[in-house]
Amino acid sequence: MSHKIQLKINGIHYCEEVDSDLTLLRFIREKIGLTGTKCGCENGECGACTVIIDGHAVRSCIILAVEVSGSEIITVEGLASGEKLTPLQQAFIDEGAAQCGFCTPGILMGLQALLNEKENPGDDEVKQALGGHLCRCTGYNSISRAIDTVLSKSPK
Amino acid sequence: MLDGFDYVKPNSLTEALKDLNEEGALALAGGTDVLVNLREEKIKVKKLVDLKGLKELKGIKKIPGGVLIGALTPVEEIVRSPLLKGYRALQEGASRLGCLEIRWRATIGGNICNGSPSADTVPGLLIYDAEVIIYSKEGEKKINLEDFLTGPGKVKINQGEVLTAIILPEAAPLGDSRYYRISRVKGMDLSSINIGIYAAPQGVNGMTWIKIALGAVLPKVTRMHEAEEFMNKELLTKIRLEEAINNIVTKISPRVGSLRATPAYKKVMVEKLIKKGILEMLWGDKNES
Repeated sequence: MSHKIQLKINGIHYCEEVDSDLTLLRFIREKIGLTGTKCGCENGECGACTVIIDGHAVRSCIILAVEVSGSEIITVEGLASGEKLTPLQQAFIDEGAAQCGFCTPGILMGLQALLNEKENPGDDEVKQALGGHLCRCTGYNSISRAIDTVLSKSPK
Repeated sequence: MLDGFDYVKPNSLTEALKDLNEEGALALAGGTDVLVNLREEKIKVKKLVDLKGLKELKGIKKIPGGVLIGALTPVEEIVRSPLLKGYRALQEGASRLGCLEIRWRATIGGNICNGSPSADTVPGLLIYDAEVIIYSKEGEKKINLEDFLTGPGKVKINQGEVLTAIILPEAAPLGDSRYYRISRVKGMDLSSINIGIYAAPQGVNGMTWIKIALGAVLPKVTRMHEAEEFMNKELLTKIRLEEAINNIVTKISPRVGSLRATPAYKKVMVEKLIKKGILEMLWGDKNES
């Protein structure tokens, strides 16, 4: 029940043997060692495990690693270029949008997928992108300020 | 626990049917329910047959007399498709399913085959008289979606069969529809009640076609045929609308043990939402509820 999969994570090619029942979340964390992607509810509800697969933000805890062979995946580690943070990451720091930080990687990935798709998304689209992410610290206001900061700096 | 199953990803429908014929095989579409159910041990499988390798099951296209939606089409594509603009309740329902990340993964075929009485895409499909195409080694057959749904978590699909597509008959140019959903919280939650309502002019003497599908109220998403017939056979006045709604509310008996809403609450909301939708569509009344 082991399968060979090939995929790209943050621009690096991997060719690995995985069991059928290994989730993408555990594959990323335990096999590849990228622990930025968090394991929260492991039930598809909290959003902490969000990664971008082929352009769309999805929940890695309810996807099997074997399902995504041939895909291109971006995790939170793939956002910054070396020491250079993305505008969204910088805005999170500037606005104090991370407190305990557990939900932050998932939220960053959800919002980044939106920004990749649209330069200037509307409020409703931002809310949609945040809608499936549970954050118990910030009350979302600082997160909302962070995304506003990014959008106000984008060319209109 | 996710444990002890094998996985295959066939490249052709013929191959998929062979795999699905094996005992303990289960079709895997988006997996947003299957993986949760496996982990909670609500289902047991020996082999997951991943249908995502079948390109012919993906996408939305115009066909003579309607629109064909491939079963593997992600729900978010339903939300965004210009070809489905004429099916408002379907797009509204789809847009309320889970959250964005779930909608990019979950598929319309999966949402149907999961058989949930509260499935968000189903009321919008039922009020447009959707059909499903079922493929097996004997060939393909078309079934009304309404007949395909048989009970909570149950649909009319046998081992070795696969739902390949959904067909929506052409939407009447002057037809309109609404999808309403009540849930405990505004964000990611299952429906306590959902409803699809369709209204269109019959083209004679101000007569109208009304169609209603209730979700999370009965064991499956259900069309209200008796009330529809009552409303459609004569000119629909506000008084006759009240009568039809009373008839629905008297006849339905929502399950007592529902975790999300009491039967009494469901009945009140069914009444309010049907009224709201029809008043809005037929009389342009935005405030009544």
